[in-house]
Amino acid sequence: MKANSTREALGRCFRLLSAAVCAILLSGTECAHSEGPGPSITVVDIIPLALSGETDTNAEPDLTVSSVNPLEIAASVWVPEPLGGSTTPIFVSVDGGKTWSCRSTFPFQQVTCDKTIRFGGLSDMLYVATLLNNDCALVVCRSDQLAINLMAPVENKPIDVDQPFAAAAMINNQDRVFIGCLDFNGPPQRTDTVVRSLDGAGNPPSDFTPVPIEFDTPLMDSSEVRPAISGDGNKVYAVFNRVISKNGNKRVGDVILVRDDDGGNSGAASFTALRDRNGVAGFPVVKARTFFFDTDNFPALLGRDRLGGDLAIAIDPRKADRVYLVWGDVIEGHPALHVIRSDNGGTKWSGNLCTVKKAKNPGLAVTTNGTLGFLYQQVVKSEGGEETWITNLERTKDDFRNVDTRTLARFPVTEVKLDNGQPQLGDYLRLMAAGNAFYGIFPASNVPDLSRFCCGVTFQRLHDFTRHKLLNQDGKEVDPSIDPFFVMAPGL
Amino acid sequence: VQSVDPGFDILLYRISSALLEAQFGRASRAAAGGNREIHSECPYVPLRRIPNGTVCLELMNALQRQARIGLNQTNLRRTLLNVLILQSFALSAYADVPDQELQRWVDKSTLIFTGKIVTLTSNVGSIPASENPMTVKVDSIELGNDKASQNFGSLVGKEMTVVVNPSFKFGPPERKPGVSAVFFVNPLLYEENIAVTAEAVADDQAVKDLPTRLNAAIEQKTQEPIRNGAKGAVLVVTGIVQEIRQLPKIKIDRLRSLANGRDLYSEHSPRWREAVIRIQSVLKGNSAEKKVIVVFPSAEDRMWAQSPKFAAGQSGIWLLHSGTLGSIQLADERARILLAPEAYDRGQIKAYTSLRPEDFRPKDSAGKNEASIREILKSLK
Repeated sequence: MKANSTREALGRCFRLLSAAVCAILLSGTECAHSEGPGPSITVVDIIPLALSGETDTNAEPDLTVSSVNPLEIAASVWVPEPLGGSTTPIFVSVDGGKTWSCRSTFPFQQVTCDKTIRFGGLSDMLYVATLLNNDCALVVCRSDQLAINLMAPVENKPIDVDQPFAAAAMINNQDRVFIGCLDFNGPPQRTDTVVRSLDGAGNPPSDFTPVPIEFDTPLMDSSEVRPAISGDGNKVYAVFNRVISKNGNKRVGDVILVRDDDGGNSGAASFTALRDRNGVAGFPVVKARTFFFDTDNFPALLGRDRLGGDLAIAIDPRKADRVYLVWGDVIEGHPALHVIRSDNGGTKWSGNLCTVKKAKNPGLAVTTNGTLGFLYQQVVKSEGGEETWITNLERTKDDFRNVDTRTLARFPVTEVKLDNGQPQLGDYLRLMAAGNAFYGIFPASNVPDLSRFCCGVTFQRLHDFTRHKLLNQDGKEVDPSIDPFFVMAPGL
Repeated sequence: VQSVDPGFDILLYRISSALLEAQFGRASRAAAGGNREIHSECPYVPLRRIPNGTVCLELMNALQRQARIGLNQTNLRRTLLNVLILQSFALSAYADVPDQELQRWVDKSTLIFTGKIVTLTSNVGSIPASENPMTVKVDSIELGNDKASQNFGSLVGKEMTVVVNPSFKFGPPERKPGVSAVFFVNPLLYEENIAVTAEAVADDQAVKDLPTRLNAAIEQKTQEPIRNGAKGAVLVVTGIVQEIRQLPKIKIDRLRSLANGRDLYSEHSPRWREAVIRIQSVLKGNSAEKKVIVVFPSAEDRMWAQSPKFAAGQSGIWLLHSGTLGSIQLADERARILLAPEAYDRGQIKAYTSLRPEDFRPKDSAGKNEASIREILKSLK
């Protein structure tokens, strides 16, 4: 009894401490830290030296780490070809993220956006999925040479797809590639889809086949579909937003989780392992909550950047049934993110483990030692009252009772440009785990001011930390813009 | 010697190939499949234009003598000398690069510059020595673009790594520091410096009248988009935007029917609008009507950012298209729906698109834009 009450008291203390940290954070303290021993966090602006003059939009970055050699990391962003060439660049590091190479080897000259990138398994094949040209065709390319040469297209269909989001792993000695997307070619009202290849590294690869994962008949599905593969490769999950009604810039909908228990290949029964109480495939994890969604005539913005139906999913690599989700709703008129956990593969869920207000772009991952990482972007008020974007990485081993929160970057909301019609941060970022380390990527202002990067930062592009100026290679000042920042952090 | 024996032709080719291979290496980038390949031989290019048969005979004799009496020092020196001569002729043999080939080099290049080889190494970490890179200092830009200027300012004076595309058939200039040449390149890598793939390398030795012919080829390339636009346009008009309006309901419904009754609500949606153009003059095609509709994407989304946007009162020159065009491709069914004629002012008017940046030029006070389009249309006749 005594031990229990001591634990409870300690628990209360931790909760108070966490609340205090959150309060400090929300009140705009420069950096939310709980410094501790162990390896430090690495933050790198991945724009290389040769692109010091670059000012393009670098929204929606994605990142993948090779399971064969974790020093090999690849990233994708929206940036167009810097010399105006007829290819699209991706970024590669071969030294664990310390330095980056921008490789113009994605072989399409049309406009591309919504890129995501994954390594397969032991094949070390790199896959890039993107939207292409004015009909939003889904294109997948691959490279077994870290994209040092032109990547090879392996899929170029269909049209009218949105937000492809890739997952890949080696299952039964073959790369299985799952691309969650909204596919308007699907059955009426059932647009959320996983486009699947069961042998992505094969020669030729097996077909990329659309597998609808919406089994009900809602008003519509939302664009964000997030697939994830368990560490043993047996279970493939995907989470998406089913929309029940919409009004202006708000949608009301369920968070739906689907699961396949045969490595994503259960034939006609693919992704039907979870069912609702009516027996319809797809389990409603959260029902009828409201979330913001920026649309043509009804803008929904946070910190000048558009809002979508934020979702993230992570599976404990040690336990295929332990699933964490991030979902978004509206609290006090602002977007909020919630983290929840299931220990039985998706039918029983915890209450909110963590809630972050005025936040978007969640990333979630679990390391092999069981540390949960939660990366997100939030608008807070600075000490001077200025609205400020911060990017936080939270790490916990006990479902947020004890949390290590690090602010990786901060910048004034006013640095988000409004004049070019493009989202500057975009609809997603990525956090993943490889072994006992977190790897992530996020978009943030590139003003080289060390006070904005509490965990430190490395710039490859030319910069002047004293004057807070970027320079091109002729020594001329360069306008600030949004850059992709790599982060690596150890598990706790 | 008026004609060269085919066997000797091949012998010359093999020797020059070996020399070129020694100079430039053959480690290559395979364009498809993303795999490296090693090319053991140059592509065969017959040498049919060797200008001086006497020297050829001399070389042949030297080679025969060498085979007959063995490799003593005198003959070795002599052979080497002859081989050098042979090499120079092998290069000059490529001198008559056809205009069509030069145009192809220009057309497939993002950047063309004159530069000097600084070292036979790379200044970009990811390019290994096995790729036979060279570091080249840019002396002048022959063909650039706005994007490159925006990102890099002036490239003049910068040093970049050049890897010659192994599919390049024509003999490049000598690969050694100090040699100047024109490099026809595409981007490859950006690290501490820029690395590019040279689709072709040429100098005055390799291409006759290079500066003049290069300028002409570049001029043709820069005019190509507008020329293609003018060529493909069914109607070219000057006019003024009378009004901007939403797509009519019938078109919206038909577009919906393509998507199983759904609105395509992605942020990449074009947000189609219609500009009603009051025609002032017709430069190409026949239009009995005084008005046309131009269907255009109002979205600033990345997918549509490059397409011209219109506002009431705007005047200019439109290149009007009735279907897919170049890199701007609309699914056929979608194009048919969007471009169906519409009822307007108790009549019916036709609908077109002008999706590429080149498809619209604003009216300028000096009338230069219109004059330029008229000139292009004239040249196409």
